[in-house]
Amino acid sequence: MKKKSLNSRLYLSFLISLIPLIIYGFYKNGIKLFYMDIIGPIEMFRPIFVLVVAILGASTGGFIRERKYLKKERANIVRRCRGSLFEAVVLSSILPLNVNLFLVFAITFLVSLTLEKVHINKICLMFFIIYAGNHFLNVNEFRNPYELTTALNYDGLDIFLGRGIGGIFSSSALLIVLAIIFLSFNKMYKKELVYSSVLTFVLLGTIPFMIKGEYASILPFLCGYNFLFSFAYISPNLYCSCYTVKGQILSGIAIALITYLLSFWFPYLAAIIAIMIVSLSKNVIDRIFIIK
Amino acid sequence: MQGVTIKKESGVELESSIKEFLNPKFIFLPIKKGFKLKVEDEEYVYKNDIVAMSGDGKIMYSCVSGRALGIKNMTYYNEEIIPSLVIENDFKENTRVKKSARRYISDYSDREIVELLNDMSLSYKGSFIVDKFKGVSDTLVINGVEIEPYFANKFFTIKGNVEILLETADVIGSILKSNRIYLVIRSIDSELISEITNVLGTYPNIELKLIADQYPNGIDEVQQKRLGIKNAVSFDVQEILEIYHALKRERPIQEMLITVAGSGIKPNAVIKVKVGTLLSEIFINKFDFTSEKVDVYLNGMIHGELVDSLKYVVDSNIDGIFVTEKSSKVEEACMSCGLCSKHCPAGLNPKYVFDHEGKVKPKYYDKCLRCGLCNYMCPASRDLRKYMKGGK
Repeated sequence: MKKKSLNSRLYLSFLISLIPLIIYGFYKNGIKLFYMDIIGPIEMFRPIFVLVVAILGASTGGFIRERKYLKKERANIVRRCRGSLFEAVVLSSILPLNVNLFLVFAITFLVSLTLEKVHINKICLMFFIIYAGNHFLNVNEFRNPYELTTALNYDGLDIFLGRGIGGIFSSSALLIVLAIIFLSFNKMYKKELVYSSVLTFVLLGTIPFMIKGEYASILPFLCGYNFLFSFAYISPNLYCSCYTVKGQILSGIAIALITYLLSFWFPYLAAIIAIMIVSLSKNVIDRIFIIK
Repeated sequence: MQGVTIKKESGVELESSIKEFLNPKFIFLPIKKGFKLKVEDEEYVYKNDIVAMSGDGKIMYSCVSGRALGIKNMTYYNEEIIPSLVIENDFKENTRVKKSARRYISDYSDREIVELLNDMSLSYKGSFIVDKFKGVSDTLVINGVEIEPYFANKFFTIKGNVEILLETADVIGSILKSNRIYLVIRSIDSELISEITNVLGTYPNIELKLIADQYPNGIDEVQQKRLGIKNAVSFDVQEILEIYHALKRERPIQEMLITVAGSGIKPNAVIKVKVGTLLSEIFINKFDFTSEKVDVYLNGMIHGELVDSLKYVVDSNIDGIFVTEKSSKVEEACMSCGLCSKHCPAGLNPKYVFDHEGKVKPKYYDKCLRCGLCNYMCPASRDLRKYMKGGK
């Protein structure tokens, strides 16, 4: 009837929009530090190693999971595993830089192998397990070696442009905002969810500071950590988010609210926990808006 | 609800003029319940002869001259099997008496028009046209927008018939006591816009309304919603032409336009055929399939149905066919993308229906417009419309 490749195009759009972040993350946490003689040539590629290891883990797990289709649908194996691969790329972007690579491989492999169709956000799940593992190994550090050794005083603009600390390629708010605009042109991108979460979060993060007159704190709060990245890339997961437009708007507001509340205690986990909670209640939210 | 701009396949371009196939070997006339045959087997039938009549005086005419071969069960749109009178065409178009046409359709009184339409049991797409004249309506809409993106039957119906359409719309408007009459066409049909505006000045109560070239703006309910028109009676342009013909010649129209389009067939064109022609005969004579492996959609690629043969008899329910190379797509699991519910013009939720198959109340399906947009939008290639039909 027609060439339908909307979901392939969505994954492709996601990956294209991630390219500037990948390059910037690699520059900020790798090349720049190497030229400052802070890290060696192999360490320079650590941001890429995290990405590659996550992809390897997800693709191996996905390949074994889909091996029954190998004989009859040889060409479709990659297509069948594309969701796992995409999840691995996004996951690697929010992990701490010094994450244990074996742990990343093991978790991405196991999750891709065992959990194909689950109503839980797999990126969030993998992040939790790796975060807990890192905590156990005492390597949950989101600053790079330069940032660890220097007393830094970033202002709002630094954080917005991505000069502040962050994961591998999740810290430039400007690039993420541009990515959201780019992704909004894709029909399958749940932009209502993203817009409502970003807008609510901006309101929640701005009004209290404005009341207190602390204008300089607004941008660092809004653009810091992984809030924006999680709203843009993790929350609009096709399978684990609301599908009705009103449901998406409501869940976006809920994600922003929970994130805001949790950000006072666990800033790196706040958005992930919020997305996880809302994704688990997506059926309940959708049901409210279905006219029977 | 959001309209969808359909991205058209490259190379699918309709010919600029209408083709004709008006000499079929056989004509099939459906003898519906309540109709009694007026001709014997092997009897010679003249063009415009009465071949069947119902108990309440409704008449069925022959559109060719030739030999009546008897009754055969034929397939019509929606897989409806109806016993049909088969007439073998002698290609002579012999008529018994040449009946003159009326000079002005405005000579009729309102009552005469309604009675005439009732007597002729004039129908369009399965409904009796006369039913629309029950009661009054402040607004009358003449729908000149094709439902399917590649089809152009309405475009060619309007082109060259503007004066006739406006005159008939004016007459219908006076019967329905309509204060406003809107002729709706697509905003991209610039050729029609200039043709209509040249004539429109003669009819001050008729207004031209333009609508975006989006799917499914050809469906009456959607069109009126988009244009902010409420409580209107809507007529298709072909329907108006049928009424005009009935008033002018006192018999139903015997020729109609169908569109043949798609990358799987050559040429792509609008073709004028006789009502009652077998679809397969038209294709054998006028078209070539470009590939052996094609998918054929009766009534278009979006709101039409995939069919496995061209066994159908042409009537007003058939707008055309869309032929494309066979799709290798298979149904995948739902991705919860929400495109089906986001774009449903009736505000329904097809995903909810297939998630709760068999548990949804039938009145839910009644709101479905059968536009097929849910199927078209679904990236998992699911046949959602099949689920939406469950209630009927």
